[in-house]
Amino acid sequence: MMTNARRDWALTAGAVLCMALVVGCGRSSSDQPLAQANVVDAVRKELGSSSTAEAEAASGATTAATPTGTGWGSLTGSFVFEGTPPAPKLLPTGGKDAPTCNPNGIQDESLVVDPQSKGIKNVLVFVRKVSRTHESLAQAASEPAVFDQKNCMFLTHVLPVVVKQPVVLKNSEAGVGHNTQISPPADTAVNPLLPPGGQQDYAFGRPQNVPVPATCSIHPWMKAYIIPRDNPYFAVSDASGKFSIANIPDGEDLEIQLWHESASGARGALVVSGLTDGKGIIKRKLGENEAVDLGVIQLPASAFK
Amino acid sequence: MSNLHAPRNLFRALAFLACGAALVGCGQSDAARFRLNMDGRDPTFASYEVQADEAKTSEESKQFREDRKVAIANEKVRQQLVVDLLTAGFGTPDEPFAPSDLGLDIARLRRAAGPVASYQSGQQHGLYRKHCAHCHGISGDGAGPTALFLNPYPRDYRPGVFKFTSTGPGMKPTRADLERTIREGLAGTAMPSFATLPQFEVDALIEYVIYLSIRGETETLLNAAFEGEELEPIDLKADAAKQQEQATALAERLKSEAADRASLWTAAVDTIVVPNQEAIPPFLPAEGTAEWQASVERGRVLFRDSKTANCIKCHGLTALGDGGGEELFDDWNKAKPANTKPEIALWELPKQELRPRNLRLGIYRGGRRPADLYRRIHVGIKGTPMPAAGNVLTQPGQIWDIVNYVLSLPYEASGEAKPTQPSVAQAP
Repeated sequence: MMTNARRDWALTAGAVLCMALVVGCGRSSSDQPLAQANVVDAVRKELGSSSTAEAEAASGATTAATPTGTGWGSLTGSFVFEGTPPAPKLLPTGGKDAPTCNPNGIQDESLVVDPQSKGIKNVLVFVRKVSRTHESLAQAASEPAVFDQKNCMFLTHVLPVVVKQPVVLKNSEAGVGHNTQISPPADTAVNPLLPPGGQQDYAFGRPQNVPVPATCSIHPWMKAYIIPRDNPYFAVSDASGKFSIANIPDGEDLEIQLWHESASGARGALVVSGLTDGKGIIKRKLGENEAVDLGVIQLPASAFK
Repeated sequence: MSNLHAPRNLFRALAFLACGAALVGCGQSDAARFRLNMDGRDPTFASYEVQADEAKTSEESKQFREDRKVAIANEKVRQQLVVDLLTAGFGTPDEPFAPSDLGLDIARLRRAAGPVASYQSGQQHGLYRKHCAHCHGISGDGAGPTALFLNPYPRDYRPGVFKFTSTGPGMKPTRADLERTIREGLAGTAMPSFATLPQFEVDALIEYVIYLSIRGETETLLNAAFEGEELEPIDLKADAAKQQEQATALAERLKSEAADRASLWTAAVDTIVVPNQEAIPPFLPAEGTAEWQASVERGRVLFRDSKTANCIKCHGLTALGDGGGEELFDDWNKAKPANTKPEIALWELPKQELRPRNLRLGIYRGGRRPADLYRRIHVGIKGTPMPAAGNVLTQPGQIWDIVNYVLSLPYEASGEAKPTQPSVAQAP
């Protein structure tokens, strides 16, 4: 027979256990928002209808016309590493396809700093949205952009193109075969085999806000970036860190994105204190025919991974 | 004595009573929900939260923190809009919906969706949850409860990429491709064969997989479209006309994105790769020993030739899958940080390496028919490092010869695996 004390114990323990059970009850594993029934109903009502003319009129009405000027400005600047830049690194090849692929290693291009000027190469600068495009830029957008490789390196490390612009994937090696894998989100992915001297045409179907990696399965150290944009306002900084973009529409609110492969911001956003926001975007409106010089933009080591 | 026990007795009585009351409502789980692509998975979307935590400790300027506050608020609005739009456009796991212009069969979707149920007539419902969801997940994210224990991981349908198709580079699979995967399974993986299911059940599952894929891709596209926009939440207190106006504009965006995705599924059929019909060699020695032997030999040369097919670079000279030596990843895993980095904690499934196939095992994931292997070589394996060689192997019969060589490999004694010709790997 159970003693009183024991029974007390058992009952109290039982009560506590029971409460513990309830604590675990009804817990939701996700903190994502629940759908709002009336919004769902309102949207679904539209999905069923087949007359789109009305809907287009309504959606047009919600987009306010962007105020814009009539002239064309420009943007220049240069990126410089603040302090002592990291020593250039070599990526090991394991002796694969030597001597075409340097058996001592291939130069790591994830952060290239010029030893003299400390200029940072391969910083991508692009204008996110524009309301008009200068006529001189239309021609360039239809010319093929060549994306070549030699000595087991991509010859262009960051290549901005315009959507639908022909991109020629090329292999200029004498004796080494490559392949170029490009898998842009929600766009046609390709991965053609490129024998020595081979080439393959490609075109992006939709713009991206983050550069798409281009890689070679055979030589895994090979990695470069291509970004398709819906406007031709982009530039990549040269070996001395300089960049310039001409004929930018003035008089409108621009969002100028800075990106670098090794930048520490989310998805490569290059965040510069006092110049950009937390997503690496410079918000700026160009005055009439204004030539904006951002000057020397100093980037500390903390801006990079 | 009894006074001494009174508080404890009271506590017990109250505790039992409270528990009893609370448990009445317990045990009934919430209705199944689709998980957002960015829900605790994809660091691109989780990054704001992470950065906000970091910002507390770092010496960032006030402006930065302000920006982040705005960004996080915008992110919440975006999540709400995406959930509302997707629920409107695609319904819920229990009640699927598809706008009529997507070409999805709603009756099939209903059969596949919802909780598992069977009726006296023998009809089954909830087929996806019965057969697929424990690996592929309720949302088709390839992260069901079993996924962590599998190699390779189950397919995540949301990026809209499927490895084994009969269609051209970058194209979606056909319904017939998905049917073959469901009916025959994928040899060498955890994907079993569902050959015993009746046709109408297989059709329902195919429809549901396409539906989950279009839904997942549409979500990605909506997120991209909303990115960088100052989003306005739908004002629930506004009058009905104003609300409807906002809803109309949003519905239009959803429609165009979803229709764009759905059109790719219909376009895929036109890109089917038809294997060369002119130079089909015998596939068995019994069909003509000399010709078969010659085809295998030509295939061997191509397999090793760095100027054309170059298969040895990954599959190796002996085709054991040891040609590269480097770590390779498919696109689903490539996006993830290395398993040693702290950010990997944001992903449910750790980064998983992909090996070039050992061709001496005689196990072919994409099917063992010569035509299956022909297509693997011609268009590659989508979302993986295996490239498309169709643009290079343009002579009639070249791909068939490699198919013959590959098919002969499991029957070659291991002693014969020694390099019998000068290795092309050493060519300059």
